[in-house]
Amino acid sequence: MLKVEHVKTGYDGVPVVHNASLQVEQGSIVALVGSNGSGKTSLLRAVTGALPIMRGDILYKGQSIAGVKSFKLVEMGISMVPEGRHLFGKMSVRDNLLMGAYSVRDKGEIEKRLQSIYKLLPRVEERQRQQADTLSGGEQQMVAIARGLMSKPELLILDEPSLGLMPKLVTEIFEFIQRIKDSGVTVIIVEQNAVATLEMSDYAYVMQNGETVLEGTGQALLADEQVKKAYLGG
Amino acid sequence: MSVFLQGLYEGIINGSILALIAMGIALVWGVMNILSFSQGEFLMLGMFVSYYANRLLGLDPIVAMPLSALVLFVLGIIIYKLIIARALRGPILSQRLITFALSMVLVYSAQLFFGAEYKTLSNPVKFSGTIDLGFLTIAKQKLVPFLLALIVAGLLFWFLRYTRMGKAIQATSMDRYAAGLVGINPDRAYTISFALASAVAGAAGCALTYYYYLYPNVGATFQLWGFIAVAMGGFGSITGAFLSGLLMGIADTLTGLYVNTAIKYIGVCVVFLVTVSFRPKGIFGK
Ligand SMILES: Nc1ncnc2c1ncn2[C@@H]1O[C@H](COP(=O)(O)OP(=O)(O)OP(=O)(O)O)[C@@H](O)[C@H]1O
Ligand SMILES: [Mg+2]
Repeated sequence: MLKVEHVKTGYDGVPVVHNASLQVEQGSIVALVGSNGSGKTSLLRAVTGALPIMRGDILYKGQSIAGVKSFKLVEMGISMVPEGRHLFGKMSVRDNLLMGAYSVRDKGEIEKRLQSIYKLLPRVEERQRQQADTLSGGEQQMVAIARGLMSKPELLILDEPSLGLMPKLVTEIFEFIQRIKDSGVTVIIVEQNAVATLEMSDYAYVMQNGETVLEGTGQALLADEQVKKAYLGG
Repeated sequence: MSVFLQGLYEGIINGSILALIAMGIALVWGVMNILSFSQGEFLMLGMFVSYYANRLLGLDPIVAMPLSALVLFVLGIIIYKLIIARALRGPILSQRLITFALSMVLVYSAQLFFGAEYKTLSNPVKFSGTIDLGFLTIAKQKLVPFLLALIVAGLLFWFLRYTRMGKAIQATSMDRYAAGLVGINPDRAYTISFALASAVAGAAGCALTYYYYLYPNVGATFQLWGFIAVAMGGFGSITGAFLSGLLMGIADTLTGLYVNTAIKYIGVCVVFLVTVSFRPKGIFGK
């Protein structure tokens, strides 16, 4: 479904990702792990059209999407929930969700999606009239994911969805992501919570200094000595 | 009493033009964090559209208004694409100053093409005469800026709140990156905002030609007062810009009336200083 081939990307002409490759099969959850500053977010930004591809290529359903702008990718079925949530702070929760369906024009369809999200996440519905920047961190994260789902993506990219949440909420978010996957959505996830993420993932990549250095099934990486040492605290 | 009412009325009219300029500045600032120094020049160009529509086609400014708004809207799009969009990729200082350079270019181009002398409408206008209310005499022509300011304020409010494009503009102003992620073309939202602001100034310019002379540098004063109105209203607040514009017009006219015309600007400045000392971020500033 998605193929990243030897991508180099960075900011203002300075590369921070030098050589990253990964492949994502339809219907799977693929994890991207690595230490802080290894270039995970930057790579995702390159995939979603926010950073220039300096070398290499990105194929989505066999078609190159290198250089395609974010807003066009949404229509193609790619949705990203960015690190740090990036909600529209002064809008209500409901309006945030509606903005998530910006590319949909059919009002009935939008309402249908809204209701199905509310069914999945009743707590988001309870808060629908509240201004987004007054929500708690966990609530904001839920809304960010919900907004990302409003465009009915085929590929959902999640950058650190559990950042700053208490363990109980982390479990909840992970269960929710599992359910998203079960509904047929392909998921790419970046996480600090390496163990839980690898357990949930079908396949995973490890990034180091701007390169993808290791890959394997979630289980295989969990058992890998190198990975254990570097990321799993053992 | 009637002198006061007359002064108040004249003040509101003068303030309406400021309100129109200020709303444009507030829109552009609120959406893309650019100080629009060229708003006064868009007003000037609107006046020239009105002048030539009157001279060549015998049109009244009201009739020329949609034309002027359209011309300035298109010009706004062109200027955004050619100049502003590029500057936005550059360092912050050039983003802030780009419209300043632009305003110079527009003033001198106007001088080159239209001449530097003062002009007034050459053909008689049909929309004229006065309405006598007994306690207040209203020149019909002077109603135009005020009505326009009301209509523009209402339309902007409606547009930003209830239309798809308006919501996209609001979302982009809150978080440009996130806007792209939900499928909004942020560059388009910027373009439309900039062009709308310039169209508003164009329409205001038309209204102004009913009773004001025009020359290439006519925008400068309005521009300056427009900025002050925006600062007073709270940067980025369109409602604030609208109300402050009117308030400044009133302060200006009443000081001229009751104190001395020579120092009438002081009234405006005092109102401004008093406002920002109580509310440093402006009336509607957050
Ligand atoms: N906007 C930016 N401008 C310049 N450099 C940046 C920018 N954002 C990130 N970087 C740099 O790029 C490198 C990779 O950062 P990135 O955010 O991609 O890492 P990450 O793997 O997502 O880290 P984390 O786990 O902390 O989120 C870092 O060295 C960082 O300093
Ligand atoms: Mg990151």
